[in-house]
Amino acid sequence: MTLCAQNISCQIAGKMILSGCEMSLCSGEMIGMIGPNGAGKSSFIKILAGINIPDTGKVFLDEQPLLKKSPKQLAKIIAYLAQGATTHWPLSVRKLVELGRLPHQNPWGALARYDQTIIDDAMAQAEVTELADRIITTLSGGEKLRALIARLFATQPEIILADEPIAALDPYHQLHTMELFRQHCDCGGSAVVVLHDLDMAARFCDRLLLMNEGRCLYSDTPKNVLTKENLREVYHIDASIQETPEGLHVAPAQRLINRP
Amino acid sequence: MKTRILPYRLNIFLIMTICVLVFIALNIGPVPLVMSTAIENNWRGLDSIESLILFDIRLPRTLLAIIVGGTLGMAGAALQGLLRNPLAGPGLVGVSNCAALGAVIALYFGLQSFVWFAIPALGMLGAGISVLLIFALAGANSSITTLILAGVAVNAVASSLISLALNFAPNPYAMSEMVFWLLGSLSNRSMADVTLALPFIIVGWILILLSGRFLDALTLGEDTAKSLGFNVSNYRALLVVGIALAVGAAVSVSGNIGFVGLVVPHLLRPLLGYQPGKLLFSSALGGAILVLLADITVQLSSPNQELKLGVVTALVGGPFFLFLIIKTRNSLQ
Repeated sequence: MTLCAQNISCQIAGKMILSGCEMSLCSGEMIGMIGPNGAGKSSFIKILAGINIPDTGKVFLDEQPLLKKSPKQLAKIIAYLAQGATTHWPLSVRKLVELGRLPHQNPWGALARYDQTIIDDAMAQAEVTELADRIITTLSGGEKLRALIARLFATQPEIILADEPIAALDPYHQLHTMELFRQHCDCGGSAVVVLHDLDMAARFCDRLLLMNEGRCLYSDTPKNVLTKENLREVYHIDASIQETPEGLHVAPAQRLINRP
Repeated sequence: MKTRILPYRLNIFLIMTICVLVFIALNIGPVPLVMSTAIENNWRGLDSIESLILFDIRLPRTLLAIIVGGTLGMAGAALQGLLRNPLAGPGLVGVSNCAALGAVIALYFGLQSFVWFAIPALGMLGAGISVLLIFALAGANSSITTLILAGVAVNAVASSLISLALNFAPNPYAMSEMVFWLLGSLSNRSMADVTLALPFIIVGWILILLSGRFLDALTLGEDTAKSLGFNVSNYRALLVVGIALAVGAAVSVSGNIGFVGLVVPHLLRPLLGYQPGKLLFSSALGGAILVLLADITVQLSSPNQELKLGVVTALVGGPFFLFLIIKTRNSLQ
């Protein structure tokens, strides 16, 4: 499946949040969405997920307008992981993962055995099987996020859209989370992941989409996007970029005081 | 969590408790009554004092306790789920007070002496107007905070108008009638009250129960609920209308009965593993139990009907709620 956004513009309270944003995502592909704070990444990914509607422009899913699909149909194809990963009630981890089956359920029907198997698999995949009976609000950040990712997998979506999933995690859990998304893409799915960690972005993503001030500036391989010039222009930093055995390494050196 | 039990087992237990309480409620009253005689007489089509007392006095009262309690419990659970806040209650959206205002207006003008259904009818009219007002004030696509603030505003206006009606009560008798009605009671209600309110209440229940899955999804926030295939603004409207219909109709026949919608979901939530959707039906059962219990207490403690049901629920509910807050304040932010 391909997800394709054309000329997306969006205003909130008179302020241009996005203008003329473009993106296309193919099966098996993982795109890292990067850019400074306030670049419009979260707004863009919500529009891609069909949560918010843009003022102009359209999102297409396999050449069909995204909003032609019913919310239920869409929810089976695209799964969205919100920023901050809040949960409002102290559910058990298993009950939380079960929420991922909601798009497949009718208003009153119970979960079938088939659904239970999918939930078990999703929990095994995200390595939260042992946490099944723990209360979500008592978990650490990394455990909680893995539970929420198991919830994503339980939906069995083709496309995953994740908003800053690894921002609050230690390196071990960052790696683990990125591996889970990579695995999903290697199995034929696709993902757009909003990231601030440029090293992780360079290492796991096929392409990077660099955004700034509501515009999609560069969309290319990590190597072509993460250049000294681009980092200067967008992040206003001087950085040294090294090729390491693990991938590209971006070391921010200093801020540019005189912003262009 | 050890205290979690399967929802259907909890529901069966609650239903059995209701059955026991219904049996007790039908058997108490100022007149000792042999139930079998009453049922037999009614079956044979004989009009006897026994069947009259059972079917025209005690049965409507008991049914109303179940219906009103169920509505308040379910509406409380629904609102707490919608707002993701355990301190919300059905009174919050302003519907109860508007329903009360309608009834007070009926009492003010003594309309109930012209048409018997004046009080519940005006009560439901008041509830309906409050919903329209809330939506007009807040707009259909507004945030939940705006919706609640609109509800609070409507609530305040209704309260002030009730005070105004009390202030200018035409005579002390009308005033005491209004005050007593506001306190909330199920005595002296007839089967006609039940049949008048029940259709609205059932529609309200269905609308609320249809949103169970949405409330589950809302655990993850509004954006994620949307991404799980729920049209958030539609479901929100569905819930608010459902709550307004059910609570409005319930308050129209019973008067204000506080704390049921607040306390019952609180008590049952941990037993159900905090699942907001499952809580709806169980809270309805729990609310029915609480109101039945309170009404039985009223009848046993003051057979001459001086003590009002709403006073009992508030007397028990208030301190109990305080206790709950103290107990859970560490987990509340």
